[in-house]
Amino acid sequence: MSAILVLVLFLLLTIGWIFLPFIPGVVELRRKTDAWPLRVVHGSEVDIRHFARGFRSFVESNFGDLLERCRAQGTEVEGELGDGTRYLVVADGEPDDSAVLDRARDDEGALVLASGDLELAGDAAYPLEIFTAGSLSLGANAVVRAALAEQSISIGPGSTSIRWLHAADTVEVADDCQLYGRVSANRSIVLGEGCAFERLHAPRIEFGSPVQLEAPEVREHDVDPKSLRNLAAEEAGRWLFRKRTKIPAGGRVEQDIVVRGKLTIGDGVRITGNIKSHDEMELGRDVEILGSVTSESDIRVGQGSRIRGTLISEEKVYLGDGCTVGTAEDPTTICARGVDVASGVVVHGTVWGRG
Amino acid sequence: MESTKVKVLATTLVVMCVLITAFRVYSPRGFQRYLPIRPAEQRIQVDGENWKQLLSWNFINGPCPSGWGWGDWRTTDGTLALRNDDGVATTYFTPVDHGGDFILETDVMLVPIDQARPTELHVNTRDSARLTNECGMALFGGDHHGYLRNTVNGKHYLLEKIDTGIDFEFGSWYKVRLKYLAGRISAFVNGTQVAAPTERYPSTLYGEPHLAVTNGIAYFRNVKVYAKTGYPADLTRRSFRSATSGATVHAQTLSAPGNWLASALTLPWSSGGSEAGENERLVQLAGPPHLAMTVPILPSPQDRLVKVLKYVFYLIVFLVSVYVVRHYIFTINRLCGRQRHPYLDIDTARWPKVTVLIPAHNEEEVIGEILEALLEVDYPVGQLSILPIDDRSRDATGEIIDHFAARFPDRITPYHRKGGMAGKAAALVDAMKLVDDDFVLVFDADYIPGQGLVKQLMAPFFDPEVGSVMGRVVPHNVNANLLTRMLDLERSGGYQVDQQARMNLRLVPQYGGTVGGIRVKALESVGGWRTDSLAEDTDATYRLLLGGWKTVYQNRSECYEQVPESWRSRMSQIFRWARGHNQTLMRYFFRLLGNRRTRFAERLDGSMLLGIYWVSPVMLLGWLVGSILWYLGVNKPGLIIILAVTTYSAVGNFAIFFEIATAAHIDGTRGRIKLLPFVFLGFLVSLVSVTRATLTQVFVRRKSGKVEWEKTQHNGRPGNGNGVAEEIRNDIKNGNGITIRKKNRQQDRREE
Repeated sequence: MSAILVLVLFLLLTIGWIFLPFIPGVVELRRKTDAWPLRVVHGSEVDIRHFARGFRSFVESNFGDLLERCRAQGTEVEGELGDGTRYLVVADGEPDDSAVLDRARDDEGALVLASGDLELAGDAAYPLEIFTAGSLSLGANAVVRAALAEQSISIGPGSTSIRWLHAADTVEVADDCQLYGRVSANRSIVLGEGCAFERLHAPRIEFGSPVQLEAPEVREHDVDPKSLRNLAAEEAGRWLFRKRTKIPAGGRVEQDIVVRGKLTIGDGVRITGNIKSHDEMELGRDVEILGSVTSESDIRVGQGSRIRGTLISEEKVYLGDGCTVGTAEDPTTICARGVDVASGVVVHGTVWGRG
Repeated sequence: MESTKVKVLATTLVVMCVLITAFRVYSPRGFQRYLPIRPAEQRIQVDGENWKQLLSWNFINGPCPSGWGWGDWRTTDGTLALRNDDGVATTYFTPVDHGGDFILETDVMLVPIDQARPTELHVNTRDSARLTNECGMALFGGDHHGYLRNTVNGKHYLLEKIDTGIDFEFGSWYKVRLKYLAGRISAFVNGTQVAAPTERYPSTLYGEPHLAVTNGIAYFRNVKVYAKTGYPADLTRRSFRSATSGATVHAQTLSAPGNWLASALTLPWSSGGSEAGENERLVQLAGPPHLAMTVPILPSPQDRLVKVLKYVFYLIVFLVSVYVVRHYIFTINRLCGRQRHPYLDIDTARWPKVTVLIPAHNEEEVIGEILEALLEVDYPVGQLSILPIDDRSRDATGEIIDHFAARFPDRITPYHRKGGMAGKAAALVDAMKLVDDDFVLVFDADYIPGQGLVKQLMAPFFDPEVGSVMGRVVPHNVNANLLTRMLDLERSGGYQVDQQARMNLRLVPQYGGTVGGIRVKALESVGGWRTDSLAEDTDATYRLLLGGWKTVYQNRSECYEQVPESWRSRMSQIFRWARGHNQTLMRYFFRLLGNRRTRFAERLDGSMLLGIYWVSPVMLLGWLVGSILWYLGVNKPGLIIILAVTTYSAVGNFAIFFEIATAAHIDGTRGRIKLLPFVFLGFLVSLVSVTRATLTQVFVRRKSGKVEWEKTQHNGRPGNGNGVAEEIRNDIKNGNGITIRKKNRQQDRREE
């Protein structure tokens, strides 16, 4: 084999090796199988009521007439949608035909829709969504996938919701319930003792029973930043601390505070700005923060404290007895990897524990 | 135009390569002065016979590749120095396989150590360490006698004492040549044949030419090996084989140089005379040996140059490697690390008042869509003001804005900027005078914000440490051509991996100037927008960082943008980014390193981010330095390979491809990963643009000192809103009798 031939072969092979990986790309350029812009979320899917709204639209478009007819005639209707999903439409109260209801509880399940109030027995699982034009009452130890009530929802002790619950009025959850996914109400949510949740949203969320607390006695005074440890800068309306610091009890601060370490806030402190810590944050009793509270670590809020702004932790939030977060006029958000709430806590807005 | 430039560039590169190669091969004086290796095909005539040169080595830059030896040897100052005190030969092998007919030639100078014992020089060759075949010559220092020797297949055919007739004086250079042709051995000193036995010996093959000395010091230079021109090609190719013996001793120190001739080492020969047959250049030393002086070993200029270049080279390799590691860390963090989205879940809050600034210079084709989109965002109406900036537009941008303002007077406040400095930063500075709110969001006119975007971008500002927020930019016109598809992949890597990893690791996410927000108080505390900056966004990022403010990246706050569709536009975009970025580098690099308000990790990442546009020119410099080192004879194994691997890792298959593939994986797209190899082309283009930008920035200073602003061109795209923009455009066209001018946009591209 001549040297020139070898050289030509070598060059051809080399060029082949170089261009081989480009072949799928050239094919893709011609066929354009994946040539569209990445999907951008234009809407507000973060809205906790997103699924409830979607389900309501579904019910209205598919069952609006049927619900009206059932309400007018007081009858129950059982049927199947085009995709094979079974449904049960009842008029009001507890369904009369328990055999039909049993089918709503079996493995395959059925959509349960009521034109008025609906009472469902406990110790049962409902694998598909429930809709009531009135209120929904669920017995103890029930498992429900998702439920939408145009009035209230009441859940018995030990029950579990799998995806979401939404009530146009209130949601009342008895003790020891497990609430996975989203729970929302347009008026209020009341959680009993021992409940676990992921995401709650309502103008008013009450945890456990109200508690009576006594405010600690403190001497109110304006805080001089220079008297605090590790002050790095005082500018642009904020105090910047390079390490841990402590705001003494009874102090009054009208600035933002940023601490590159642990922040301890004494009893009865009142801060009109926002606060942030890189490390743990400890709020004493009866503290009032008019701005937001942010920490890259845990936040422990002492009993009786009031936080008006957002409460953001990259770890866990511990809310002591009788704390209040947000106000009825200015609802807010608590978000953290976990939220541990004591009795008597009231939150206005959203509580989100990502777990 | 573009293709012509590419052709010119490619032709220039090819011509340069050809010229350099030709210069290297054929120039007698140019590079060859520094070339340790002569072209393998160089031919000479000796005694009327044609010989092919296999090796010419002058030791200026160290020993031959794969050369080896035993005893006390070193290369210094362009010579090979062998020293022996104990009567056992110190030997150095050149790894050349020359076959049966050969010439060994070297310049040599002997220096005695103990004059009571004879100093003996050997110029030999052999077949292997087993000494089955060996032939050569020995000469005695200070004497005119020597030996010829030949052993074939273990049989000693020749061991003959010869009288050279030339006193081999210490401290003088001699050219010694051993020739073996057709079974006949002959020896030459300074071109004179001193021994020529008539007897023929059995032919055999030799392959390990070596030089040796006993009881003294020998300096060698210009070692040459020739074979017959008809020597089989396959054997010639075995030249420079690896050392075969386990007896290799690289003794790089000469333990007791005391009795050497100091003057010998400082005379001109040390700079190397490398041409064949230049007997007239041999230097005869004046005066007797000076036996008591210590020899200073001075590095030659070439040695110093090589040393400096080597350190530069290692530094470059280190820097490139650091950036490779950085890419890996970011990518692995995105794949395996804990992801930070601390503000993502804030959906209920007392939302603060915010003004949205939209700088628009000749944006009639897109301004309507963004205004329309902003009117539909999910944000409390009374808390959101929209301030479109008609920045000296010469098209219908201002009119469109006015029509929107007329329809939504409570929500849109138009600002017509009729004069002043060019550039987005200058427009922002002027517009900020109209802002009363604590926060501003900035969108370029060709972006389409989604309904939830304003809330998502505002959420981090509840954290009082946050000075600026950056959302994710997603190309909208992906489908246009190869460039847009590559940019789509690059953007994915940059945002989905780079920016989010920096957010995860609490480093320095970058505020990108659009789809982002700024806390006004923070910006004012660090001096506001800088109008003398080409990259006001990067500049703001770093000044906020130095002031103790954080930039937050919100990966889920996505917004469509339009990426450049022509290479020219893309190159000009990179050019401007690079210059702006480098400007920021010069301003803040050292301030950042000494800043006490930032963590060490932030300083490190921030510095690397500042230097990102220097990687390209540094990498090219690495290749240049690597090539120079190679031409200077530094052929240490792996030197070039190291750079090749790190370069490949930096811009090739490993780090960047890994990053982009990871981004596509996280984005859940599969088909577009097939285009990954094309990204390499994009990086080559970036390499050229960035290097050009950096070099012109360093070496070409503008006399005026003014900032040169260049607007990236956008193409129009269909709106996706409710049609208000289209309606208003029609109003302008028809109702008011105003014609939207389709300007020659080229004319507006470059303005000051």
